[in-house]
Parts: sequence; C-alpha cells; structure tokens
Amino acid sequence: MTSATVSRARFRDFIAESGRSLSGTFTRFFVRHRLAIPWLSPVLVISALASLVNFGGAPQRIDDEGTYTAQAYAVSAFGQLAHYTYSYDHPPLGWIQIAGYAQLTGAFARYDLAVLAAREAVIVATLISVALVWVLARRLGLGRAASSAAALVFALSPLALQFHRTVYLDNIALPWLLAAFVLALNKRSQLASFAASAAFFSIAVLSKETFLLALPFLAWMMVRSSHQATRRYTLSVAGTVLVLVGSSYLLLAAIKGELVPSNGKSSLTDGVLFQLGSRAGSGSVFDPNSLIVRTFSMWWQLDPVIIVLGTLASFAALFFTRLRPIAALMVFLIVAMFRPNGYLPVPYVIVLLPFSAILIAALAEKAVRTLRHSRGVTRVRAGAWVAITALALVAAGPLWTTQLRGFLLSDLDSPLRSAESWAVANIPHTNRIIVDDSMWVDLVKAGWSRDNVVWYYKVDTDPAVKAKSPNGWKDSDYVITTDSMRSFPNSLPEVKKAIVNSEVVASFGSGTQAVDIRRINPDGLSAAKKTAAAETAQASEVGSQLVANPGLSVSSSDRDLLTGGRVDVRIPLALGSQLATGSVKVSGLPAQVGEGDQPRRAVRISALSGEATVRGGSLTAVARAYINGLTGQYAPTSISVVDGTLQLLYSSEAPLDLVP
Amino acid sequence: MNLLIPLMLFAASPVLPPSPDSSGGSSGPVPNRGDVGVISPTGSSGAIGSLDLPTAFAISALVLVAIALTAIAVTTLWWMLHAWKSDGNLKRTGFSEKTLPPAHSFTLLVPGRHEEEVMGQTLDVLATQTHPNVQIIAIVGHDDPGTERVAREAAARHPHLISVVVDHSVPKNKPRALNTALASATGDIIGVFDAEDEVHPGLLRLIDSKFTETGAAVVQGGVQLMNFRSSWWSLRNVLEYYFWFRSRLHFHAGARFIPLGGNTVFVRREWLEFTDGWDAECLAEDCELGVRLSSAGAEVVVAYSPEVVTREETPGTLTSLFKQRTRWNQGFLQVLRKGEWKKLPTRKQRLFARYMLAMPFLQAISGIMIPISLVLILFVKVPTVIAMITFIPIAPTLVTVAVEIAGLGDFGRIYNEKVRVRDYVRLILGTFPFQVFLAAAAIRAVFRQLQGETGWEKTEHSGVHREAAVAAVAPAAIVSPDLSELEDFSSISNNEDEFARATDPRETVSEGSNR
Repeated sequence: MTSATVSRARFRDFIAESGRSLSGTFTRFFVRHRLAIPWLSPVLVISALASLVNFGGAPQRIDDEGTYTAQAYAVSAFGQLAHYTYSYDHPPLGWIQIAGYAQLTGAFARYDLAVLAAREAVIVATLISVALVWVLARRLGLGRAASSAAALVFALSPLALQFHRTVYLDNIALPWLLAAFVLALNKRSQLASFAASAAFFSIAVLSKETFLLALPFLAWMMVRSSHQATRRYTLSVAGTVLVLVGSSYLLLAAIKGELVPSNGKSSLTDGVLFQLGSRAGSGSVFDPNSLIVRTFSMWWQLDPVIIVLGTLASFAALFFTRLRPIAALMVFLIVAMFRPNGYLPVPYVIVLLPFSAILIAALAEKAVRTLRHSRGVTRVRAGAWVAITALALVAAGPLWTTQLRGFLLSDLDSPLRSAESWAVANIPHTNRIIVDDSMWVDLVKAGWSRDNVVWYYKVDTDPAVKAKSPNGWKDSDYVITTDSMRSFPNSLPEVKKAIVNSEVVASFGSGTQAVDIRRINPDGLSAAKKTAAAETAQASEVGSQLVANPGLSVSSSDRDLLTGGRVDVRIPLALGSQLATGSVKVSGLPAQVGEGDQPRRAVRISALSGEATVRGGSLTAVARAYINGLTGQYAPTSISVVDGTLQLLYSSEAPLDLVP
Repeated sequence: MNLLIPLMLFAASPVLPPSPDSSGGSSGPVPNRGDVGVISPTGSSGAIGSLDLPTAFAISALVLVAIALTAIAVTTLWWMLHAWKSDGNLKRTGFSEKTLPPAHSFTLLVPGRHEEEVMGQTLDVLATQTHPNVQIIAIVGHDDPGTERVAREAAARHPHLISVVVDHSVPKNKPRALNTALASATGDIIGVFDAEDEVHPGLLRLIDSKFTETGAAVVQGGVQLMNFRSSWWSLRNVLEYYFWFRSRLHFHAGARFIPLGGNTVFVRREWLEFTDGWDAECLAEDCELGVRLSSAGAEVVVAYSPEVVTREETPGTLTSLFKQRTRWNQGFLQVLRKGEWKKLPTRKQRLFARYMLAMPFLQAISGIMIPISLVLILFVKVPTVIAMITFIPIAPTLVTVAVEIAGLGDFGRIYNEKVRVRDYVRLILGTFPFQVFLAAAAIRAVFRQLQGETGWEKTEHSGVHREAAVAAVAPAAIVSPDLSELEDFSSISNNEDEFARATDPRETVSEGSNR
C-alpha cells in the first residue's frame, strides 16, 4: 500500500466520521474540495479586482442600463414592474433579481448614482458565473489548471469586462444558465439535480428571453448524462418543472388581464410579437453602416482574440464527444447571429463568452496532452492548435493590458455625472426634463416627480406619457442629450423637435461621450435666439453703464465680459446697487463648469467700500449687510467664500424683464 | 383545491384589476407646471401596504394556506419519488440477486371472513411455497361456516402444511383474529396474508434470505393492485400502490418510521411477543404495529421486486373504496392519539411521525379551505403577487401528474400490460376528482373521529351484508373482462369486508399525492 492510498483511505474515514451535523457538512465540503479551493480562489480574487476597481468610471453609463436600473428601482420603491407601464418587452425576473439584491444590501442607498447599485448586482452575478465556469469546465473533464484558465479568460477578456460591468439582463441570467448545465451533468441525485437544472434554466429564460436558444443543448446534455434506469422519472420531472416555471410568465400576464391585447393596454402577445416580428432587423453584414456591423465592430475593437479563437475552438470542439453539446450550442448561437433580417442585441455576446472560454481552454489542454503523448497526424494537428493558441496569447498580451488599464483607470462616466450634478443644482425641480434613462432614478431621488422626469423613449411611444404632455415637446423644459438619444434622431419625432428647439446651456465631455443640457423654448428656436440676442444686448448696455462707474474695480478681461453682454444681467444690477453708496472690488467673473460661452452667473467680490468682504475665512459685517440687501430677483442662489473672496452665484434660469 | 383556485381566478379576472397607473398632479393644458406635491411616489394599488386590516388578514390566510398546501404536496411528491432519486436508490429497493439457503421457519396467518369464494385457492397457492419450513394457519370466525368449510377442505388437501383456527372473539376484527392464531404459531417468523392474495411461490425463500442478510426485525414485501383498466378510480388506486410499494415505503424504512402494510409483512416472533401481538382496538392495527416496532428501534426492511409481488385487486366499488379510506384515515388518527410515536428515539422521527399521522387532519383542513379560499378569491381584491402565490400549489400537483404518467408507463412495462392512450387520458382527467374523493374521505374520517364513532364494529355492520352481496355479484358485474387476462387470479371480492383490507398505501392515500 502506498502512502497515497493510505492517506486517501484515511481521508475517506474522516469524511465518514464527520457525520451529518451541519458543521460536519461544511467540514466535509471543504475537505472534499480541498484541491479546488487553491485553484479557484485566486481566480475569483483576480476577477473581483478586475470587475470592481473603477466600475463606476468605465464604461460610461448607457441608456439600457438606466432602464433596467429604473425598472429594478420601480420594483423596490413603487411596487411596480417598471417605471412606466410594463409592456412585456422582456420578462421581469432579471430586474426583479437586481431589485432583490439592492433591497438586501441597501445598494440604492449606498450609491449616489443608482446605475452603480445595479452594476454592483451584475458584477456579483458575474463573479458567481466565474466560479460556475470553473465548475462546469471541471465537469466537462478539464483539469484544474485549464479550468482556472477558462475562468480567467471569461473574467478578463476586455470584451467580457465591458459587458460584465454593464447592467445587462444577460449578466443576471448567465449564472442560472451555467448552473443549469452544471446540474445537468450531475451523476448522483439526478432527480433533484435535473429538477433544479430545469428550474434554473427557466429562471435564466425569464431573466433574459434569448437564453431560450440554449434549450435543445441543455436537453441534449441532460438526456446524455441521465441514468437509464431512472431516466423516465428524472426527465419527466425536469421537463414539467421547466414548463411550469416558464409558464409563470403567462400566469402573470393572465392575472393582470394582459395576456391578449384589449382596449389599448399593453399585453404579452403584443410584447412577443414586437420581439419576434415587428422589431427592425439589425441590417445586413455587408452594409458597413448597418446596426449589426456596428455591433460587430464594437465587439471586435474590444477583443478580437477571444472572438477568433473562440469561434475556431467551437468548431474544433465538435469533434470531441464530451464537449459536443457545448460546441454545438456555440456554433448554433454563432450561426443564429447571421440569420437574415434578424435583430442582434448588443449584449448577445454575453452568453457566448463563458462557453468560448471553456472551449478555448479545453482544446488547448487537449492539444498539449496530445502533443506530449501521441505521434503521427494527431500530433501534427495538436501542434498546429498549440501554435494557434500561443499566437493568440501573444496577440492578447499587449491588447488586453492596454484595454485593462483603460477599465481600471479612466473615468469615462464623468460627463454624465457632471451633467447630473448640474441638473440637480440648476434646473428647478418643478420643471419637466426629457432624459436618458441612465439618470432617471437619480433625478427622481433628487426630488423631481416621476411625471417630470421623462425617459426620452417614452415621449413618442407611451400613450400614458403622451397624455401628460398634450402639447408634446412644448410641455417639457429641458432635454439632456446623450449618445444613445442622439443616435435615433428620426424614430422619435417629438424628441427630435425638443432637441431642435432648444439651446445648450451646459455641455460636458466630447464626442460620443458628450452630454448636453439643453433648455427648450416652447416658442421655437428662432424665438429663443431672438430672446437671447435681446438679453445679450440688454446685459451689454447695463454692463457698459456699470464699468463707467469709477467706484468699480475690475480686471480688463472681466470688463470686456461686462461690456460684451457676457455676464448675467442680475450681476451688474446687483453691483450697481452697491455702487450707489460705495465702491466695489470685483476679483473675478468665473465660468461654471460645462457652461462654456453661457453668460457668466458668478461674481467674486473682494472688497466693498474699501473694506474686505472676507476676513479670517468668514464674511465681514459689510459683506453681510450687502448680501441682506440683495432680495427678490437679486438674491443669489448660493453665497460662498472662495479663495478669500465672497462669491455670489445666480441661477442659470434668468428671470425675464428685470430691466424695464 | 389548488385546481379550483386558478379556474376561479380566470373567471374572476374583473375582480383582479391590474394596478392602474399611478398618476399625479396632471391638470390643465400644461401639466408639468402643476403642483408636484400631490404625486405620490408609491401610488400603486398593487402595493400590499395600502390594504385594510381584515383584507390583509384574509390575504395572509390565503398565502399561508397556499404555502402549507405547497409544502404538503412537495414533501409527498418527494417521498413518492424516493426510488428514482438516484441510481443507487432504485437498486437498493429490490431483493438481492443471490438467494441464501433457508435459515428460518415461517408461520403464515391467513384470516378470512365471508371469503369462501377465494380463500380455498389462496391457501392452495400458499401451499406451493418452495420454502421447506412453512406452517399455514387459516383463521375463520365461529359465525362464518362457509369460509370455515373452504378452509377445512384446503387443510385436508395439505394436511402437513395447513391448519385451521376458529376465532370466537366478539366483535370480530382482523387484529383479534391474528392474535388468536398467534398462540398456535410455531415459526420463527410470522407472516400475514389476506384471503384474496395471489402470492408468488418463491417469495418466502427471498424473504428468508433478506432476514439472514439484514438481521432485520421486520421485512415488508411488495403488494400490487393490478386491475388498472377497470375504472377511472381503480387506475388511480393501482398507481397509488405502485408508488407506495415501489418507492415511498423504502423512504419510510430509511427514515426509521414506517406504517406497515396489512399483508405480505413478516415479523420475527420475538418482536411480536414484545408488542403483544396486534392492537385489537385500532382501525389501522398494521400501521399501529409498525409505529410501535419503529419506536422500539426494530429495523424494518422493505423489498420490492415486480416478479414476486403479492397481487391484489382494488375494492369492488367506489363506495367501498371510500369506506376503506375513511377507516384508514381514522386509524391513523387513532395511532396519532395513542401517542406511541412519542417514544421514537429522535426528534426528527417524531416530527416525521406526527406529520404523517396527522395527514388526514391536514387533508380535511385543506378540504374545508376550498370554499373559504374561493370566497376570498372572489370577494377580496388580491394584489398580483398574492394571486401568483395562490397558484404555487398547482406546480407540485402538475409535476405529480407528470410523474404518474411516467409511472403508469413504467407499470405497463414492468408487468407487461399494454397501457393505452385512453388510460393516460383517464389518469389525467381523474386527477382532480380523485383529490376531491380523498379530501371527502379525510373529512369523513375526522368527523367520525370527533363524533366518537371509533368502533370497528359500526363500520363492520353497516357494510358487511351489503358488501358481501356486492362481493358475490362482483366477479361478473364489477370486474371487467380485462381481468380474465390476469392469469391465475381468483380474488375479486376484496371490498370493505373487515379483514379484506389490503396492505395499505393508506397515507399515500390520505395525503393524496397532492392537492
């Protein structure tokens, strides 16, 4: 008897002795998986670091994320399935899970930006997926090292990182799908395993309906691994569970009386028809401007290596019995992307990633083994595959490093964040704003009524929203534009009119990341321009009068701003009231972040009537007296001490008719 | 009841209006300039928080009932599927492949009452057992000359094997008959068969071997009803037995709390002496014996092998099945009240015993909840989530139906019976009526128990004559021509006669596979 068999026997005894108590169960679990833990835990730590570091900075928040976040928020805050009328566009279980996570962990309260709470939820889901990729790889016969490699590829590919950090329902559905596959491969307790597998798969589909595509392959795997003697029962239970859990969606619609269309209400039938039929296709792969090509090129830019190697591995893995269902699933999913006139959702790639990673690792492992142990043609083939994989590794090295740096260090979300802060600080909370969903929850939490924060997509499509704005775009006061809002200019006519008839009052970021805050003029853009010109002329006149007063001390550049009408008219008027009795020393007319060429609405005053406005960090008596005199429309929105001077800030909303 | 709720829900859809869109201060042509304060951020009528107290109470009750029903249905389903939970479980349910040489002597007790039709043949078949050391005792009542004559004729045919014991006890019941005969039993192991059982000649050799292999105190063999084509309820009754003996009983043996069956049950003599035989006052004396043996720590082994299973027929009419169920349920309640189960060694076992024995109660309560739930569903505005929850109990019910379909196919394959599409349709359509049937039997049992009608006697007298008459007519009238296909099957008469009780899947029955 060798020492290895001795220790194994002792180990078995230990397991047998540890009994059925709860702590015994834990102990046995850890003892049994004592070799898995050192392999899996570093992978999880690395994945967690890669996913969590700077997850609020990159990528920039997008509209879709905001929508799922807002729907999750609606579940937990309003007890409703969506922040607007639920339209059966997706089954709700995905964001119900996000809501559940947020509820349990207090995530919505922990973040200023609601989307980040939801991002945290999907990252947690992804980390579960990382562990499940490892387990599934082991179940498919991969060694521990290869399984860890698969999990790392899944976690660290830039393509994966980008999508794993984004609030897509696919990320929520993925762990359920992977768990379904793991359970379908169980050899022991198949009845419970298969039933759970079926339930998990249904949950995956109810989280993201496109996952239904995996059903034939899961079924194949389950039938293949089922024991012949118990198959009759295990499979019929699994099948029934699958159908039952799945049909809870129908039940929901039936209970709400929304199974079939009736008097203009949204219905499940409409939702399904929209997804299957009337939804516009993604265009042709041969048209360089089509949506599908844009999607592909976005994926390609992020990580060409995993795309090429994953596709090759999927086809090659068809030749290995054990990997065949997974390989066939991959090939099927890849082919399904190219169906004519099909709609290719951008996050579709999420379901491809774990299986690509497993197959890449599996084939590399097989090739290395074959290279070592066999000769002849197989050896040549294995050598070729090892070479391909090595090449991919070499290519991936610099590519991934650069991308990873970007994810860990850059702050792409800053424009959106600044725009939100600007809106909260400067737009009256009774005004109606048309927004991208990515800030919907934040603005509602900041105090706007739900009716006054309007998701731009609903302006043209939701009868309930339209009813609340009978004058269309004219009933809104601001529109905050983002890339996603700008990319569908023609399908949403009211939004387009709102944008056309508005002028930028603050702008953040540039290029596709730009976020503009635009004030809508219900009388049209030309009227707005006329008003603006009149205001400038008026401000110029008042400014010129002001600078003529010898009591005013001001720098020459600020003097130019005043005479050019580039300063909010309330500032020269407020300064003028002081000049009647004493002198004023203006130390600056600073521009506000994001406001560019907008009239300056802040003024810094260092002295009044020869006395300093600030001494020892606090306002002097003369400054206080002056401020107390500024009432009504001259009252600033904020008074602060900046750089040892008094700063008065006026609202961005200039009141009309200040000067008779 | 869970089948009714959804039906009513669909019918009652106007009572469950979807939450109206929460709307707020929209007034005038420029609504966004209106006051904002009016708008409530949680203005959903679907929210549970907005309910008044009685409604909230009613809804909580509804949810609790739904959860309880689900729990009952899921545990029942899970136990019913025990044999197929894993590959190993199924293998463990059978007899071992190699039979050991005989090492025990057997005494078989065969009580019969008004069963002259079938008793003779049953005794003849028992006499063909290949086991070398068997004593057969036919037990007949002193007031039943017909059966006595048949038994004595059989004894004359097999003078070294069969003897006849006449039971003079009053009132008559099966445990008294068994206790009477126990005094004359000489074997190491006492087995019980009913007068209409068709027993495989090789069974005792296998049972002997099982005793030797396991050293168990009790071995329970399989019993199977066969006539699934006779009627819609006989199909269900047959499946109950199939799942009970093929699968569930093995779970009970593993859990070390087992209600024994009424026949094909074998107990070591010393254990029967320990229990002082059977409890003559209990309507479910076989279950009661199992509980007492389990409490004393006796090891019970169950073995099921389709080839050697004891074959029986369902009761002749739905009425007699109903009475049988009532009595079993009542027997369970008696065993629960007697409290022997409190002596079970572990808490888990006691909890399990309490749950199982209380099943008639639970079933009766859920039966009563049917109308109450309907009222709630119809007259209480139910939020969507609550409505969804009330549907949950259906899920295990439907899984059970799927399992029963699979089981029927399996039954046909194992017993070489052709199962037709018609049979599957019957199975599905019979699901709900059979649940109502079982709930009714449970309610009746609870009612009778509360009324103090606990006597074996009363059931006996109310049923015997009519049912004896039924039994006499039965061969032609009740049992369909299909029966003739069952080779060598003589017994059709088991009905609500007092001892004709088959080994019972009694609480498969009382729990009902679902509700």
